[in-house]
Amino acid sequence: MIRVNQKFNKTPYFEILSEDQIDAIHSASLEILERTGIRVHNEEALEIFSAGGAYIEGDRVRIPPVIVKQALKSAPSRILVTGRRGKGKVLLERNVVNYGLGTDVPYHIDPYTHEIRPTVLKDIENIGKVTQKCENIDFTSNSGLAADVRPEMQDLYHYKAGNIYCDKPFFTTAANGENMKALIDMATVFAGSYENLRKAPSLIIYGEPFSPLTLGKEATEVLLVCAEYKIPIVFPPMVQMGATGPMTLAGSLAQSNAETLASLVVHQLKSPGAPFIWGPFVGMMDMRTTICCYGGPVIMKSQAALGQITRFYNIPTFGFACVTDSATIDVQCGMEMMWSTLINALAGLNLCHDVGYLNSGLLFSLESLLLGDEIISAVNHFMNGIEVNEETLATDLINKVGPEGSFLSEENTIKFFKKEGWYPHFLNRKNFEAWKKEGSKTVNQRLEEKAHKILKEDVPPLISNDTMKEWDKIIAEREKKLA
Amino acid sequence: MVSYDALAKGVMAGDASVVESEINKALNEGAEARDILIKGLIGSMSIVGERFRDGDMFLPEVLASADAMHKGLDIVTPLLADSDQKGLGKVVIGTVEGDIHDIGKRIVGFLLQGNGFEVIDLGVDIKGEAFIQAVKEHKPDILGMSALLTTTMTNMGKVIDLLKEGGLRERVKVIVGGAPVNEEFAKSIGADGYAPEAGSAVELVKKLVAS
Repeated sequence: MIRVNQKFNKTPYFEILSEDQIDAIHSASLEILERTGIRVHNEEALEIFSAGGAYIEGDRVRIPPVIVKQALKSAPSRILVTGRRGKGKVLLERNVVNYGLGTDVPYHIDPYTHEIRPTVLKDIENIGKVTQKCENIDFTSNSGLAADVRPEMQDLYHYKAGNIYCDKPFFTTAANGENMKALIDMATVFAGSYENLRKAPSLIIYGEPFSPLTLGKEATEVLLVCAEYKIPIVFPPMVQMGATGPMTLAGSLAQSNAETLASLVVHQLKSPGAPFIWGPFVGMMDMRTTICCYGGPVIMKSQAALGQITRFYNIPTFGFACVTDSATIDVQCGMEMMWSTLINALAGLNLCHDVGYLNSGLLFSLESLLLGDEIISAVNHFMNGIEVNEETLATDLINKVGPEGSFLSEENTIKFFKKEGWYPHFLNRKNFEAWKKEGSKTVNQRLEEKAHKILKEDVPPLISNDTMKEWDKIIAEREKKLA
Repeated sequence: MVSYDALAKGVMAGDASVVESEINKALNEGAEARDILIKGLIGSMSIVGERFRDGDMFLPEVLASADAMHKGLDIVTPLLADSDQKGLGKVVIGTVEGDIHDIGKRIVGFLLQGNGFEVIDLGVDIKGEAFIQAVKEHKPDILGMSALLTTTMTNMGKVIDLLKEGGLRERVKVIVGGAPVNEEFAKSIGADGYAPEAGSAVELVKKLVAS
């Protein structure tokens, strides 16, 4: 006997745009690039665009579709990033979702006093410590701008602090091309050579064009250095509807797409096949507060569209997880974090970042990071869909247990209760009396307790003294040049 | 001094073969059956109970532990002195008349068994007279009643009244549980104890038996 003509869903399936809508957005992007073009504040990039066949008029670059097509063709559809010690994996490929932290947050919520204060290097070390414990977090980041070091050198110190207690792939920013090279040198201390680092990158870089339609000097330097050394880079324009892009979502999607395509073109012309991660951020500016919204349904729609657009281009994509506009862990935070994670997962976005952020990316909180880990766990469970087969349909078992029986002691229950069930660490599942007996604790209190517990643990650094010395040497050299 | 660490691990893993072999090993080393029962098996199940309460163990795992513990009891019990044969205590449980909800009561029964109590589960939809009959017949230390419906929970009070009428009330401690039941209700019908969920029901029974 055989069951035939079967089609099973491994996961939920979700789309917001039709093929024709995607095509219309892509076509509009091509029109923007050819008719309006972009402004480029970087000499090397202008030369590359010119040599590649773009039309140059001063610093205005107009890009014909044929060059765009070439860039889309040479960009890889698959990027594999591993932790610097070979552990931990971020696979950026069609419909593979990875979760991790975001890069530059100015303020930190103190885990003991809950006071909002500037981030310091010690916080970045602690973020690594907690991230290492979060089983659903695939990559880490500095998640802060350390106020206790000079701004021109922050990126190098962030790399050092963020890697002390965490060996997951590292996502970070670089101030300019020279700092980017120094960061590559720091990562090469592990890799052994540029060639090894190229073959198995352990870091991912974030940079961005200016919207509307501008490539800045330093950001473009970083883009081109990453291309040269084949370090994965995500280069997302931040389009705020009604402010740095049209108020209509379709128009802002088309513009952000054009900005990303222009960045991709110069990147691929510099070094064909270098790893590039697609990633516009299209959100609304709140016209009452001027905040660039991370929460709410508008950005959810653009992220859903982004998933489909990048599947159309077949290029790895940037995404979001656990983001909120709330300045504290409250009802708004829970609501926005949950559905931002769910929608980005449903959209199949690859590098879902910003776990641990609050207040539209102005604040970082360790408790938010721990909550994010739990939200991701729930979303991952949902995304695993429903397994339907003979064993899971369990008709033999149902027949065996029969009316008024119990499934509790059955082997099937032991085998599946963790896989088919889901168990939170922080959410309450006790009835109110048992809950009251244990002090009526809220999620916030349990998150705080866990954060304190991890911070108090005496874990050895994952960096050897020799490595530390090599890093300090690289940092000292860069300091000297800047002096 | 015999160590029961490996036995405790076997109980916690729900591995009956480890439990059996560890008990036989302890007996060969000259350990007394009573010592194995109290320090080994019951001690291990207390750890299981604590881990369950703290959310570190899951119900199916606890039931597997209870099962493994029982395999151990089968070896140890015949070797006990008569005075120790009684075990920790006897509990009669059942869901009251008009109510066929079973699973909560059954979980409490499993956990009590797993902690070394003898449990007689009367089943569901148990009439008052049947509870009285069971108390007379089995002479339990504890009578546990369960109800899931607000319309049937009042039958618990009626059973207690029947115990009083029959002159049996002082012979047995009565505990009640189920979703609509709470501490206040338990007091109002004259029960001796109430627990909001299965794990604390075991603690409650231990406390009442010791008092």
